This record gives sequence, structure tokens and C-alpha cells, in this order.
Amino acid sequence: MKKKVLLMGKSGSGKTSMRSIIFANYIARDTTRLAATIDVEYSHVRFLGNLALNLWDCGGQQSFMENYFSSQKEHIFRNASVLIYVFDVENEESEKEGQYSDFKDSLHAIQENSADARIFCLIHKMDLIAEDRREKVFAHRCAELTSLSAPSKITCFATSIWDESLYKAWSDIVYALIPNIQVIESRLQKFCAICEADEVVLFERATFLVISHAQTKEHKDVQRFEKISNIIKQFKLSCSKSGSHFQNMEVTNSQFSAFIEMFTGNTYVLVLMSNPNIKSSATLLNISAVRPHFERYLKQEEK
Amino acid sequence: MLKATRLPEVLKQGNTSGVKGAILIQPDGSPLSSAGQENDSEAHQIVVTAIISNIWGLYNKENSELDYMIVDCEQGRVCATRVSKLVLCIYGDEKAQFGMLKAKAQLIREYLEGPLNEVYH
Repeated sequence: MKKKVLLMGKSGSGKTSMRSIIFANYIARDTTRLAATIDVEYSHVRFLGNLALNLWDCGGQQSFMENYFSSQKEHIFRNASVLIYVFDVENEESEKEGQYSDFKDSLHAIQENSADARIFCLIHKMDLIAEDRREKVFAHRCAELTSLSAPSKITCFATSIWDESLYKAWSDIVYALIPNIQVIESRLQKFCAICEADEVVLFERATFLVISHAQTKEHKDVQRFEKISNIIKQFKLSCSKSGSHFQNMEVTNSQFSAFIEMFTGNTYVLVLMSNPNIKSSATLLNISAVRPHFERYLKQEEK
Repeated sequence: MLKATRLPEVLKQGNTSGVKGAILIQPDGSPLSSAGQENDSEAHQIVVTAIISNIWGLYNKENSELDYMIVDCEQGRVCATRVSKLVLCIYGDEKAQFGMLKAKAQLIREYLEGPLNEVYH
């Protein structure tokens, strides 16, 4: 199954950096090496095995943008499942004439050519805003963009390559692309209950984006998923840099045990247990018992 | 799959008349489930698991039809038997009777054999 994802925004807004971190195993520091994208860079990313993301990283320089809305318009905007528009938060844009015009043009083009596409707006480089102002700045931008895009519905995220917010945004984006996600979620919830785990999280293998999660206990940190994605991805990268291949991990202390295991061909699973009476080998046994079932559920989407 | 909190409840039922605890040991030597006394330390169970699974493994290599193994120690007595792919180990103090240890092991084994076979298919 192929899904076309358009990544657009002004020159220097951070599109290629984001793509490199999520899909190409760059660490944030490496992205300073990236040069301006010339015209469109196409990357083909396999996600969850059978889902192919056709990522169109469209260079943001003005001359390229002009082409997108004239000669290349149909070629670019046709058959897209997702449009991701990246805004550099420091670029003071307002509804004044000339500003936001590229965004508006993209919206129109998408409405004309792929009316069903999901639209995501990423307010990027939030690390450059003082922490106490971030919420306000984001809320303001979000409101502006929402009213601009009416009647189309958009989803806004505040992101930065220097923290886990990037993972949150991209997890939600790819979540919207996975077919049958509700089925997977309900099965995961069942698994969580039988295992008597506090929480079970399913990650995509290459990107460590969260696909789904189930929980039996409330947890106060809502940002824990992206934090985990970030941490494990970094750990996985440093493992490969030293020549070893990350496979699984068990973290145990007096409060909990966390198991991160290779699950199906394209996923990792995190199981969080806090019951001291359950031994770790019992949990590992359950994970291997349920593995073939999930291999079947995830394969079924190919049909 | 295994509902891991049910097993200790089953194993605990044998802990009477001198029996101190019971452990289910996986083929790789790790404990799957156990039920002991409240003041039993985790370390004690780990030691019992390690030693019994090791001895069982050694005898099992010679004679793979090993059914029951009874060990008489200075300060306690152990009875081990096979349940599905696991080893069930019941240990008590030196006053526990061997026949009684064996009978308990047999009963728990019969009770758990079916369900555990399903988990390990």
C-alpha cells in the first residue's frame, strides 16, 4: 500500500532535517550539515513493512515554490494522503498581503487535487522561543492557521528537533495513515489485560514512532511516548555506531519492570509491569506467546 | 498466554505441614512463578532455583526419562518433578516427610499439566 506524503514549507524551515531524523537515523546535531533541498527530493520509506510512504520533500526556495503551483501542480498535489506544512516559528508571518500566500496556495491545490488528504501544520523550531512563551505563541499561530484553512480541518503541532515533540507530531501523522489501527488497538488492549501489564506500547521498528498503545493504569506524563521514542532511538543509534545491533532490553527496579522486545517483523513492543509477584520470565513468555497473533493481525492489512 | 498472578495461588496451596515453598522453573533455568513464605528473601528462591535446575539438568542429560528427584539436605528437603516443559520444585524443612513432598508435587503437577501444556504447545 503506497501513501503519498507531501512535506512543504519555506526554505530553511526544517523539513529535510525532520525527515532525516525520523527516517534516516540522523541525530539532531547532524542536521546542521544539510544543505538546501533542490526542487523535490523523493524518498521512499517502508513503514510497518507493507506501508510505503512516498515522502515528497519539496524544496522551499521561492523559485521552486512557484513551479509547484504552476507547471507541476497536478503532479505534486494529486493523490496525496497527507500534506505536512512546516512553519518556522521565528518567521513572523501574518495575514498581511504576501505572507501565508504559499500556504494558502498549497491548501487550494490540495483541496482541488486530493480533497481527502489530512493536513498537518508543524510550528517548528520551538526551541528558539523562551519556554514561558511557548504555549502562547503556539496557541496564537494555531488559531491563525485554523481560521485561514477553514473549511478544511487541520491539526497543529509545536515541534523542535531538539526534543521529543518531533516524535509526537510524526507519530500522530503516521498513525493517521495506518489502516485498521482500531483493530490493532483493541487487540493490544486485550494483550495488556491478560498480561496484567500497566502499559503496552507498539513502536515501528525503524523509526520508533508509536503506532499504538494500551494501558490499564493512568500515568501522569502525557509526553512519555515521545520521550521513550527519542531515548530508545538514540540508544539504538549509538549501538549501531559501536557495531552492535540493538535487539531487546529489560529495565527493572523496585517500582517496575519494563521490557522492550522485538515483536513482529516491523515492530517493537514495550511492556510495563509493576506487579512484583509476576516474574520477568512469565512476561517474556507471554510476549512470545502473543507474537504470532500480532504477526497475523499486522499482515492482514496487506490485503 | 499465561495469567501470571494465578500461578502463585495454586503453588501456595502446597505450603503446609513443613513445606516452605514451591517454584516453577523454565527450561532455561529462570523461575516462572513461585510461592514461598512471607519472610523468604528473593535471594533464597533464586538460589534454590539455580541449584535445583542445574542438578535436574545434569541428571536429565544422562537419563531423559527423569520423573522425580528427591534431595535430602542438612537443613531441608526438596522434591522436583517435570510439569509440561517446566520443572516444579517443592522444598521444605528437614521435618517434612519425603512421601508427603512427593504426593504434593504429584498433585500440583496433575493440576497444572493441562493448562501449562497449552501455553507451551
